[in-house]
This record gives sequence, C-alpha cells and structure tokens, in this order.
Amino acid sequence: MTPSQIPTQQSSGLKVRSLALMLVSSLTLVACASTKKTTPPIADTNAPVAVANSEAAPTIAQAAAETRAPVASAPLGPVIASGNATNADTARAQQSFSPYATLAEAGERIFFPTDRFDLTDEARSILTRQAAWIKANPGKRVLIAGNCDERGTREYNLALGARRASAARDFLAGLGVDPDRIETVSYGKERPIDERPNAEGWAVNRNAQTMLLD
Amino acid sequence: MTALSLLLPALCRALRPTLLALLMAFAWLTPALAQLNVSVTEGHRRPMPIAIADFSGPHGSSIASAVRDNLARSGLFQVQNPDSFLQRDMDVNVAPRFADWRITKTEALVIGRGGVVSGRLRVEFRLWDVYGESQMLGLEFATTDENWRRIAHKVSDAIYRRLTGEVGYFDSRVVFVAESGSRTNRVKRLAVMDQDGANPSYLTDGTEQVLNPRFNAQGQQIVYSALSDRGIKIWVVDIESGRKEAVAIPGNMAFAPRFTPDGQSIIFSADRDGDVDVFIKSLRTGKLSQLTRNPAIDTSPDMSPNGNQIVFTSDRGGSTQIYAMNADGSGVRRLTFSEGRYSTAVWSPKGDLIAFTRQFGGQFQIGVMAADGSNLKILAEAYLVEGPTWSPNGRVIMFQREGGPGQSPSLWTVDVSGTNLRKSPWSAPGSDPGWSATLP
Repeated sequence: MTPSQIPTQQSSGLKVRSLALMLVSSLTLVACASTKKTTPPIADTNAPVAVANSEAAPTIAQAAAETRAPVASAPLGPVIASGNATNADTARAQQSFSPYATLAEAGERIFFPTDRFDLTDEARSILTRQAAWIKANPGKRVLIAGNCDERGTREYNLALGARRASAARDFLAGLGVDPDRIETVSYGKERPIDERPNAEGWAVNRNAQTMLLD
Repeated sequence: MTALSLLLPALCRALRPTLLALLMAFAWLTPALAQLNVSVTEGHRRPMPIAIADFSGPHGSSIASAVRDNLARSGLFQVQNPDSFLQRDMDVNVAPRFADWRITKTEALVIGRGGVVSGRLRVEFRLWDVYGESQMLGLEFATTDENWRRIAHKVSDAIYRRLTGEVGYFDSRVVFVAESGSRTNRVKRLAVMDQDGANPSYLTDGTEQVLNPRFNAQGQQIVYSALSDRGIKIWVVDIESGRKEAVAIPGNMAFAPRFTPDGQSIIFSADRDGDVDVFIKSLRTGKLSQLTRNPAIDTSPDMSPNGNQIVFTSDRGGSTQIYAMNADGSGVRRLTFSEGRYSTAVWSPKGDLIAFTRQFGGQFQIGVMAADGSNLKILAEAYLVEGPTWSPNGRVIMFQREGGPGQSPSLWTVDVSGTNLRKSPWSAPGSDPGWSATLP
C-alpha cells in the first residue's frame, strides 16, 4: 500500500479524507485527535511506505492522502463574514456560525509556490475558514508548522518554513484570531508528507499546516 | 539516555589523548636525498605507487589494511596489492630488497611491526624510498590495545605528511546524522565515527530529529540542533563528560549552530516572528548578541578561523546568496554574484577558501571559492548535494549526496582540486557531516 495507490480526488477533498480516515482507522492502531507527530521506532528503510504505516500520526497520514488533491483544488469555503472580520463583535457572532466541525474540515494545510512564503488566494480562503473555526472554538490553541520541499538546503529551508508559518499566523491574526492562541514552528524539509521526488510531490510538501494544540 | 551512557565511555576512551607518539628513534635521511614526494595541489598527478606490507605482531594485518585504505582513499597513492609482493620476508629493522620492489614499480614501501610492551601496544614502522634506496621515516607509536586503529591513522598521517609535505587528516572523526525510516517518517540520530567509517556510535536515541551537528575546534564538544514538534533547539554535548545541555535561546526556533573558533561561543540563527537573523551567544557568560537585523532570511553563519569574519546565507538581495560581515555584524558585503542560489558557506581550516552549496540548473553543487568570493570552482554535482565540511588539513571536503530523485542521502568526499570524488566508507544513509580537527 503506497500513497500513490490512493485514488486521486480533484474536487472532493472530503471524499479523499474519509477514504484516508477509513484506511487509517482500519489499518492502524491510533485514530485519536492528537495532531502531534511522535517519532516512531526505526523502520526498515527499504520497506515501501504505506500511508497507514505511519502509525505515529493519523493527522499526517490523512493529510498525505489529501495531498493527492492538487493544491489549487480545495473548494471555496462558505462566506463567513461580510463585514470587518477583525471586529470583536463580528468574531463573537461568528462563533456559532462556523460550519466546520473540525479544524481538519476547515482545511489544515495551505500551499506555497517554490521558494515563496506569500499567501495565494487559495491559501487565504483556507485560512479564512480556519479563522472561523478557531474563533468558534475559544478554548483551543493551534500550532502552525511551516514545511518546505527538498529542493533547498536544510538550514535555509528551516528559515523559509518559519516564514511560511508566520505568514499564516499573521493572516489569521488579521482576521481577528488572538495571536496568543497561535504558536508557530518550522519543520523545514524534515517532515515531508509526499514521497514523490518530483514537481507534484514538492508542491504538496511546500505547505503550512495548522494543527490543534492541547 | 541509556544508550548515551553506554556509548560515551567508549567514545571518551577513544578520544582521550593517551596516544603517545614516542620518539623518532630512527635514522633520518638527509632532505637532499629524498626525491620522493607527492604533489597534493596538482589534481591530475599520477598517484604514487606505494606498498604497505602487513605489519607483524598484534593487529598487524589490520593496521596495515587500515593504512592502505586511508592512503588509497586520498587519491594520491596507488596502493599495491599485497599479492603482488615479491619480497615476503620483511623485517622492520632490515633494509628491504629494493630491486624486488622496483620490479613492481613500487616507489615507496612501508614495513612495520607491533608488540606489547608493559601492557601497551607498541607499533613501529619505516617508510622506504625504493628508487632512492633509503629510509624516509622511522616512527614508533604506543597506546592501549583497543586503540590500534588510531595507531593505523597516526601511521597514515605520518606517511602522508612525509610524502606530500602537508599534514594528514586520517586521525580524525566525523559527526553526522544517521538516517533511517521512510522519507515521510525520517528518524535522524546524532552519530560519530572515525573518518574512515569505523567505530560508529550513536549519541541520541532518535526521538528528536537531529540536524547539522558540528565539532568545536578542540574536538571535545559537538553542537547540533534537534527538531521536535513544537520547536528546534540547540544542544551542546561534551564528549569527555557526556553532559548534554540545551543552549537557552529566546523563542522556540534556534538552528544552524556552529562554534566560534575559540570554542567559547556559538553562532546560529533564530526566528523572531518569522524573521530569521544571525546571533552569537557566549557559552561562558551567556551573553546573547544579534548580528544581523534584516527582514530577510539570514542563516548558516560560520566564523573564520581567525575570528574576524562571518560568512552567512541571506536572501536580502532577492535571491539566496552568500554574504560576509565583520565579527560584530558590521561591514556586510555580498560574496556570490554568478548565476544560481548559494548557501551553507563554510571556511577552510586555513581561512583561505570558502566551501558552499549551490543550486543551479535543477541540480545541487558543492564548490569552493576564495575568501573574497573570487575563483569559484565547482567540485561535485548531483540531484542533491549539500552541507560541505572540511578535512582538518583542508584537502578534502565531505558532504551529503543524493545521487538521484528519491535516493537516500549518503556521505561523500571530494578532493579540493575537484578530483577523487568517492563515497565515504560509511555506507548507511547519513547526512550533515561535520569533520573534527585531528585528534590530539
């Protein structure tokens, strides 16, 4: 079972996700809500990497499947605010309006072009949905991890990932999310989710992932 | 931590300066007669044919074999196959039958023997000039029995120095990251080995991803960064005591650490709200200073051996390039101007050259240039090469290489002349090598 065997779904992110969830829950041990990636014991280097094999992190595995959907294909989120989203009253009013049951449903990852950290329209749209969810769940804190493809040097990519994460954080803060509820980190090129060493795989690995803390 | 405590005693033993170069007790040839020498600067010079006979005594053939491997890997020697030897009855204290060695076109010959003297392994050897029919070197080393490989490296260094005129680099170690697991679930452990891949040991258990380890100039400490879910921290391991300490730095992302040449401070980069700048922190006083203040990325700093200059990677000019500045952060100037993206600059031990990583034409390259950015020269190219580190004598550069898409990283070396590209004897996946100084 390799990631590439999972059917690609262009426009139906949810379908892909639920397929991945089924895979994860049927084949692995854990399917809790933890978003933390714990480093697993050393695996056989030569073993093919199955999505369900990454027992450490259901979230990551799920995202790996989701990433078969090209970067620009996620559906537009519902309009959540017509006025000034940074307005505290609006933000409060939106709380009960968030149409997303989970952060993952709002869209966990935004994607970046090569060596860039500015936000695409697509990324802004996903972040806007994330903001709605975060504001609707006042007790929650999030961690945004910036990721890079393998086509850069290690230390530079750590720096670039930090920029991607903070670009996402700044946008969320601009939508009225309390910055104290957002932590950022960069994984550089150390935690790719797509194994493919080609342009498609690199595009998937250039992202910022918003994960639930606590 | 248990693995660490198990491994460190062995490591300490290996590094403790118990090794004694006893004496140069043997006759020296006058320099006028010593015609035999190898040029290390001319990359294409014919390698010198040298024969290293198995030493007699304990570890004799292993020592000779390690010496052969060292000299062969340098690319400067053509090491003769022992099966071709005509003379078999060698004695370290008897002049060889030079005519026999000339038949196989051997130019230099090494004969040695080991013995145990008051519980210590003592190894003596002589280096002969076959065509000059004269002795070039006679030396004796003593150490504990388990340290026999270090004797082999000391012998290699002595031969290399006598024949090339440059100090050797064989008695040195390499810290690196041992990689395992799939690409999407990589385990990265801190590891250290002899430069020839022998005596590997692991210093971390793999719970955190270890990145970019480097020795201090004294070889007693290693600095590295460790990536976990919530941040990346800089750690210093003291090899002698085994103490592992996190370096306190504000924020949750500090990386790209290197020791300053005096070993008293570390320079590194840290993230402040998405802006990555270069900092220096004294390990003695704890004083932290910010050296760059630029909204662009500033990372991968390295201080010159004389402590005056710092090179670093920055994209402040719009593309990723190498810059230099004074040790206090003043006088920033760009060093690289030709096509491509440049990063991970690192000073040669003498401070005359800077090695770097370049991205160009969809490939990665390892290159060197003069300290002012001139005379740029590419030494190696592949799908991914990065993270150059210098041998202690500045002749060889080790780096991480992935030959093609999807390949595992491995450690490779290339001569600074651009010749003798080869894979390190450490064959398992590895990255981020950091070469030590020669051991005391």
